[in-house]
Amino acid sequence: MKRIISILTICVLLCACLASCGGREKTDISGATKIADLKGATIAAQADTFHLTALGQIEGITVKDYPDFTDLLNALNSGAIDGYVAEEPTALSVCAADSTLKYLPFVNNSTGFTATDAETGIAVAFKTGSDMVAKVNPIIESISAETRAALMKQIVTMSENEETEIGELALKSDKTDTSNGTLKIAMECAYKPFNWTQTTAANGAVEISGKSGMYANGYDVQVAKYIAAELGMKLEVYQYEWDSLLPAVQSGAVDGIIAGMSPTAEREEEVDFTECYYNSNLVIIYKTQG
Amino acid sequence: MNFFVQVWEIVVKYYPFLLKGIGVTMLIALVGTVVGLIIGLLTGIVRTIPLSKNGALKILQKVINAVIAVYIEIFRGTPMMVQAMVIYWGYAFMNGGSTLPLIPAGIFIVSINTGAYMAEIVRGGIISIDKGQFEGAYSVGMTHVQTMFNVIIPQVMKNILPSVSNEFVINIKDTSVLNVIGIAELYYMAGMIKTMTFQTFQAYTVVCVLYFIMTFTVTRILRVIEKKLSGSENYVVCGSQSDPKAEIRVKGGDSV
Repeated sequence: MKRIISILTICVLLCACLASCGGREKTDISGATKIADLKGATIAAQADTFHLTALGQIEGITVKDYPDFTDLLNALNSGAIDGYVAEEPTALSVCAADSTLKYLPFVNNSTGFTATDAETGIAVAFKTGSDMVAKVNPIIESISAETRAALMKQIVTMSENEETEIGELALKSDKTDTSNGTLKIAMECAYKPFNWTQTTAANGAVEISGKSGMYANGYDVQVAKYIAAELGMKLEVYQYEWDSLLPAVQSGAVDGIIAGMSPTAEREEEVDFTECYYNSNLVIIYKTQG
Repeated sequence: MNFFVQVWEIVVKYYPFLLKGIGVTMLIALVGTVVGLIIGLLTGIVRTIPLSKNGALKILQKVINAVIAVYIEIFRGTPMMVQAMVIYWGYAFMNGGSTLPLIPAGIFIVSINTGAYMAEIVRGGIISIDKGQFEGAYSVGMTHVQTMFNVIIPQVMKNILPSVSNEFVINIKDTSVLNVIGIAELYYMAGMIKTMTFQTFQAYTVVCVLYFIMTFTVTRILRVIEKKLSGSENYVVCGSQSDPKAEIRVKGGDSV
């Protein structure tokens, strides 16, 4: 008798466990035209980013955070979340790679999130007190908004397939002198379309120092190439994990970081930032139903 | 089915990277385990030297033992990922930005980490040897080092081999944490493929299978070596020096 009761209890417990694992109630957000329309949905953002802070601007949503941006994609594909915050260029790359994904094209400070330029922009970081900031700022300012948009468009096309021949890039320096030494730049080489790793030197990719056969390309790489050329320096790209980027520039292992990094107040205490070299709208990526 | 197609596409497109990752992983794990074992044996021999009667020597021995104990406790008590970050960037900060070459740095980190574990494994192996063997060796005039190398260590090696192969397997898997300093081992390659294709699950499925193949092969090979070391199952013990027919035949190894 006791045995039967215990077996029954275990069965009931197991059923309860399975029931609690059941599917999450999904919210269709495909029709949202402004961020307030997302009410009731589960939206995620990468931990420790402005994206996560910005989610506080939407009322009535469930906020989740994940450590890595590819985790967000996993969560979305598995159905754990209804959508996640991304920069528009990232959204373009992600949606191009998977036809079941789409994004809501919000525009900052109008239909989308309220944000300052520094919060959605990305800048070059140098060691605190470095004279490089003053040297690089005019170069970044000389790149017009049209050139930035045109370059990003080309880069996004390129990111869909690294071997697609793009031809002349929108941002190109005509200086070929490299007598001012080398400019060592660190990036993740893992954040499409800003920086990624590819297996060939196609479309002006730069070989990653210390990793033969691996090439870095993307918006950051092209900006780095332009800055180095304008300074009359030779560019060397170093690959570091995100958490290693700040120590790399502080210890002097590299001269600067060009890695899609936003100039937040916390980071400003560790390194010096230049002007922003790109500003993006924050959008929401979602999975189409069915 | 689509999933398996995507997995296969990853294998076909990125196999040079995957092979390179396997190579780096195996190199670091193998060299790390061997160097770790050597560290373990040396510390094991030093720590079991009987305390000297000479006052100054005795103090020196105590100091060395304390240093070894601190080394073991620190490296066994902190995660290897943290050690990697501290050692790699600590070196860069102290040397004005010159960083350690990546693969030697990885081997160094795995070696000292494994050394701390091996020290304990070897110590366990040494104290499991019967005290009479030490006494016998000392009584025929062997020094501590002679006793160790000729009598104790050969037996210890045989006894600790299962633990050593265990460490080796752990090292194959644990080298994956070295991606924090950018060493291009197998896990790093998975991360790279993931960001290139946006297919996280597929990329990790591929390396999951690869890791299993690596560890399984290594355990099988080490099992064969273990069998070799434990000798033939059937052997003959001579029962008498004068009568060649007085033999004790042992079959199956456990009939004594």
